[in-house]
Amino acid sequence: MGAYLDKIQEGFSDLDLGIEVTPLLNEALAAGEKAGEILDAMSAGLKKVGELFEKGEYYLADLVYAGDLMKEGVRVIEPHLVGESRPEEGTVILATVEGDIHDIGKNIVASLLSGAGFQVVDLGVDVSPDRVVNAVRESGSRAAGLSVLLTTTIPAAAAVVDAFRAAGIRDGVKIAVGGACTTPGLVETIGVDAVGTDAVSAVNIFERFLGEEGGDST
Amino acid sequence: MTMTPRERLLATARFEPLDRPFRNESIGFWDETLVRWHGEGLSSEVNNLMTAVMQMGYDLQVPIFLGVHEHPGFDPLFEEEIIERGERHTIKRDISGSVVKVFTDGSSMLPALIEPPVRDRESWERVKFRLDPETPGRLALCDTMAAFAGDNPVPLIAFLPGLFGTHRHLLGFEPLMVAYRKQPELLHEIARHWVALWKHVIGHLHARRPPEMVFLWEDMCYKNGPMISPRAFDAFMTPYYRELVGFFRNDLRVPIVHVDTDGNLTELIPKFIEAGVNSFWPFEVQAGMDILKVREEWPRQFMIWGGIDKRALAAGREAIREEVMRVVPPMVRQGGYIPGIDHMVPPDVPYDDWVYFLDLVREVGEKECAKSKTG
Repeated sequence: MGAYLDKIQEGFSDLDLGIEVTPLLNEALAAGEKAGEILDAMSAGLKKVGELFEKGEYYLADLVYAGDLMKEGVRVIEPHLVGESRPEEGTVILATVEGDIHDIGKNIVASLLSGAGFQVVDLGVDVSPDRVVNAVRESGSRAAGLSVLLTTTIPAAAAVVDAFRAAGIRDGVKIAVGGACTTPGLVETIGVDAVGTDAVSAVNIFERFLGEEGGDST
Repeated sequence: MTMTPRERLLATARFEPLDRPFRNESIGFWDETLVRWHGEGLSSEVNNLMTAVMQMGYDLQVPIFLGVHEHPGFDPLFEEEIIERGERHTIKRDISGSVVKVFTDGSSMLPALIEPPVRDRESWERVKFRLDPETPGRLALCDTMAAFAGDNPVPLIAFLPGLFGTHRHLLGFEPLMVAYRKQPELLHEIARHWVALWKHVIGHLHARRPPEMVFLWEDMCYKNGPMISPRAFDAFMTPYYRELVGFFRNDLRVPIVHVDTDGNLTELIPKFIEAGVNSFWPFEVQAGMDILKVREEWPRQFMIWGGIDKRALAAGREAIREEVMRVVPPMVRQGGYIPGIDHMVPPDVPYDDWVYFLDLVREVGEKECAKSKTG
């Protein structure tokens, strides 16, 4: 790995280094580093952040900051990726359920999933069950992640599971739920496939889901 | 002998024997909860926290709300302004200066932040006059409430936004998380202002009627622990907490300095205690908090308020009894405890079961206090 790529990976994992993302990535591009390799270095750094979060060395604030670095980095790199073929982990549909307008947790998950190489279709907040089902159909995704903040919106997550059943495609889609009020018991009570305890566990869940299922259906 | 509410609260904080536990079993109710209960027997005149508290027989207290979760203590407040009204969602600037999205039908789901009032030093300078320590309105409110409390034997409680709470109000959650690394000087400047503001305001209040409790709203923990690292706490909060809480406890002799953390506060307890905090709420069970274990680790260092799993209230009377018996007898026996659920009452709780819960908590608590006196 080149010196720039090392520096980028380190800067995206050791958050106290306080890197200036845009100038650093522009320098790396000007020095001839490939955009895809720069993105891989950023992703490797972010993965390390996830590991350190799981070990209790990083906190929620660090995850949000790392996601912010990633967003800035992707903005710089994306135009340079045209023409480079990239392996993809698959597509994940994300939504905050109907009746809930909060997106902080969902946004952190989206950043980490993008960093891990997933295509993310973010449907936003207060999303109806039908929209989630349609997004899965249109994208060919086999995985959906639902965000719920309060116990009162858990029935809305259950309604999404029901909508997949009613559409006859429940067996082809893995559904995970996460948020402040969620507990592992939701797998049984509302019929989701997994409950994420935090944003890092969400990435692990979707890696497992799409690893098992072999990516998108199209 | 029957204690006054003031005596009862202070004796609780000192781990002294009580005639009965202090009654404040929930700090609030969702709007939807009260609406539901109006259809289940609660008088329609009970339609906010104050009327609910009076009707449910809580211990009397005189609260002074100086911002807390609605705004960072602004005076004057921002004028509420509708920016866009859609069929389902409305975007507005609220009294805290934040642009937020809410449900148009008035549902009480917490607003979602779109744009905070502060982004940088320039926008901070623009809102700073709203936190001027000398603003007459804020001091006049203190005068009024101090006069209202007067010599009455009820606790006077000042509710203030904490430091994390203030930073979060001003910058918004996600920008704040990033600001710890990208705008540290701005956060320190706001923190210095926070100390100066509340020293002045509570000092003014104290000169008229000393408060029994200062309640700091932080909401800085969630189910996996604190949102910021203990290291960030040391850098951005400890010096300011030491100065302000030290002033409250040592200079003004405020008996109780209380922090509302939400979530799992385990890692931050030693840091808050070191700064002089001696009471916490709400110890959410769903976030892994077990106040029996907390009390084992911290036998007498602080008062505990809450810790009863709110989810049990929606799970039927057997579950309510089981949860109350798990928590209340051992905690009341050890002292330093105000029985209560671990946050506001959610709308999936039937009114009859809430009444059953209140009766049971009070009966069990009184029996334990009586046993302590005779035993």
